[in-house]
Amino acid sequence: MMLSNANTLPKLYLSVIEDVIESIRELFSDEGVEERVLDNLRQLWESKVIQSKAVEGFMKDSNPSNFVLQLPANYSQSLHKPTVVIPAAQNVPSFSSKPTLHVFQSSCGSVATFSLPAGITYPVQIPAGVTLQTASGHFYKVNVPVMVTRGAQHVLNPLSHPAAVARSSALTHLSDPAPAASVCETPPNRQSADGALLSASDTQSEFTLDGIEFSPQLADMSTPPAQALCSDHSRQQTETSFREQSTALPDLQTEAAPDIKLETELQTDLKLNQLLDITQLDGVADSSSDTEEEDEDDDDDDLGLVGENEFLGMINANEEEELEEEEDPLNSGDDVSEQDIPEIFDTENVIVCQYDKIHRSKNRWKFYLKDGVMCYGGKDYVFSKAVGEAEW
Amino acid sequence: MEPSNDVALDIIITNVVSVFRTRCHLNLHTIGLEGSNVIYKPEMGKVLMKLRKPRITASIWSSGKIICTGATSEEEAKLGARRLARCLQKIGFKVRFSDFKVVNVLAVCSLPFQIRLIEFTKNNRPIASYEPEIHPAASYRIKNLRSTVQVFSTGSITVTGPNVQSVASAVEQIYPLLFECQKTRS
Repeated sequence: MMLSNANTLPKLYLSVIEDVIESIRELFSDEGVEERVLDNLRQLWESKVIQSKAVEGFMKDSNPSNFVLQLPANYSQSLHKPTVVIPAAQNVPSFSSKPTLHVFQSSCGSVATFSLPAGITYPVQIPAGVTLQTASGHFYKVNVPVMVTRGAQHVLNPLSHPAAVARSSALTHLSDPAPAASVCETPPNRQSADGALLSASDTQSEFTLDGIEFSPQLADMSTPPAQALCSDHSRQQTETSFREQSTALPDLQTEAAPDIKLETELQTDLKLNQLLDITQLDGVADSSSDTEEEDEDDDDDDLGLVGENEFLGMINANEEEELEEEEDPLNSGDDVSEQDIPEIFDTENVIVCQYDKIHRSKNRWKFYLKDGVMCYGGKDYVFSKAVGEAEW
Repeated sequence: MEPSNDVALDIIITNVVSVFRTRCHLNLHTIGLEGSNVIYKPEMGKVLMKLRKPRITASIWSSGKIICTGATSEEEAKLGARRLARCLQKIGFKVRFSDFKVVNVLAVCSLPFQIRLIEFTKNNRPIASYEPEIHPAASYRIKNLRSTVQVFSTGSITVTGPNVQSVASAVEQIYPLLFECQKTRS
C-alpha cells in the first residue's frame, strides 16, 4: 500500500522544492540576495529532507537500473559530471526495488562499512569522483575508482591510514569473483593496512568498499573533526579533478556558515522593517506583572455587574459571606487533583491537512480529511483523502 | 394483594447537571487553543470541555458561567466541576469556584410490572397528563418536590428533579399509584 506513496513522494517533494525555489528566485534577486544563497537554501532543504529519513529514495537522477548513488545536483558545479551509470561492460542488474547504500558508522566514527541489498550482482564498479550519499544523509566522496565485489567483511579505516590517500588513480580490477575474495584496490598496501579484519563473511550481502576515501561533506555538520581531517586528506590528492572538488568542498563548508548567517540576518532585517512604524507595548515593554493581568482587563469591562453581585452577596448575611469563602478554596489545588492522564500522547506523529467533515457522537469521532501530509513513525505520507475513526 | 412498601427498587441515576461560576471573564478562544479535550463552538458562543475521570462534559461561556453535565452522582458532579475549574485555572484564568449548584438529576427505574396508562391518567387527573400522539409516556408532575415522572407502559419510568433526594421521594410517592394500575390484573 505504501509502496505507491514511496514512489511518488520524492518526486512530489522535489517538485515542491523546485516550485518554491523558482518562485522566490525573483524575490531574492529583488532584495539583492545572491543566487548562491538560493542554491545554498535549496541544498540545505534537500539535505534536511534526506536526513530526516521521512522520504525514501529521494534521488535526483532517477535512473532506476542503477544503484542509488544519490548525488546532490548542486554539486555539479564542482564535480565533473560523475557517471552514475555502471558501465555496460558489467552485468547491470535490473533492480525491482531501489537499493540504497547504507553506511554504518561505528562508534569511533572513522570506520564505515557499506552494505548493499542482496539483489545486486557483483562485481560493481564505482568510478572515480562519485559522491555517494548514504541513507543517513552523509556524503562520501569516492576519490579513487574502485571495484566492488562480494567478499569478506572488512572494516575500513581511512583516517588512520594516510598512505591510502596518496594512491594512484589507476583503476584496479579484482579478477576473481570468488566469495572469499575481498574487495580491495591496491592489494598489498591496502590489505596490510587493513584494520580489524572481520572475518564473518556470513552476511553475503555485505561487503566493504576499501579504498574509498571518506570526506563527509557539509551536509553532515555533526562530525566536524572528522570533516576537517578528511578535507585535509582530500587536499593532499594529486589528481587535479579531485583537487577541484576538494578545494570546492572546504569552500562550501566555510561558506555554509556565513551563508546561513546571512539568511538569518536578512530575515531579522525584514522583520525589523515591518515593525518600525509600530511601537511595541507588550513583551519587554510590558508594564504589567504577569499573564493574569489580561483577565483583569477583561474583568474591568463587566466589573460593574460582578462587583454589584458580590457586593450584594456580602451585604446579605455574614453566613453567606462565609459560604462564599468556603466555596473558594479551589486555590488549594491539592484536593482538586489534576488530570492524571494528561499528556500521554506528546508524539511526533502529526497530520497537517484540510477537513471535509469532523463528526462526533458521544465519544465516537469520525474524520473526513483531505489534502494532507502525515508524518508517522518518522515517515511522510501524502494523501488527497483520508478517513479516520476514533474513540475518545 | 396489598402493595408492599418494602420493595427494593433500583433507582439508577443517569445524569446530574450542575452549574457554577468562575467569577471572571473567560477567553473562549484561548481555552479553545490551549485547553486539552475542548471543542470550540464559536457559532454558539461556548466551549465544550470533556473530562475523563468523572466522565463529564462542561459548557463554558465567556461570562464565566459553566454548566456541567454527565455526572452520575452529586458528589461526582462537584468533583468534576472543581477539576474543570482547576483546568481553567491552569490555562491562566483567575478562576474562583463559586455558586456551585446541582440543578437537575435524571434517574431511571424499571418497575417489575407493566402499567395501564389510560387508567393511571384517569385516576390522577390533574397531576398526570397523557397524550399518546405526542409522547408515548404519561407525565406526572409532583409540585411540592418539583419533580416530574414519566411513566411508560412497559413499566420503565424516568424521574427528573432538582436533587437526588427529591427523585427518590418521587419514586416512593408514585409507586403505589402505579401499582394500582398495573397490567397483571385482568
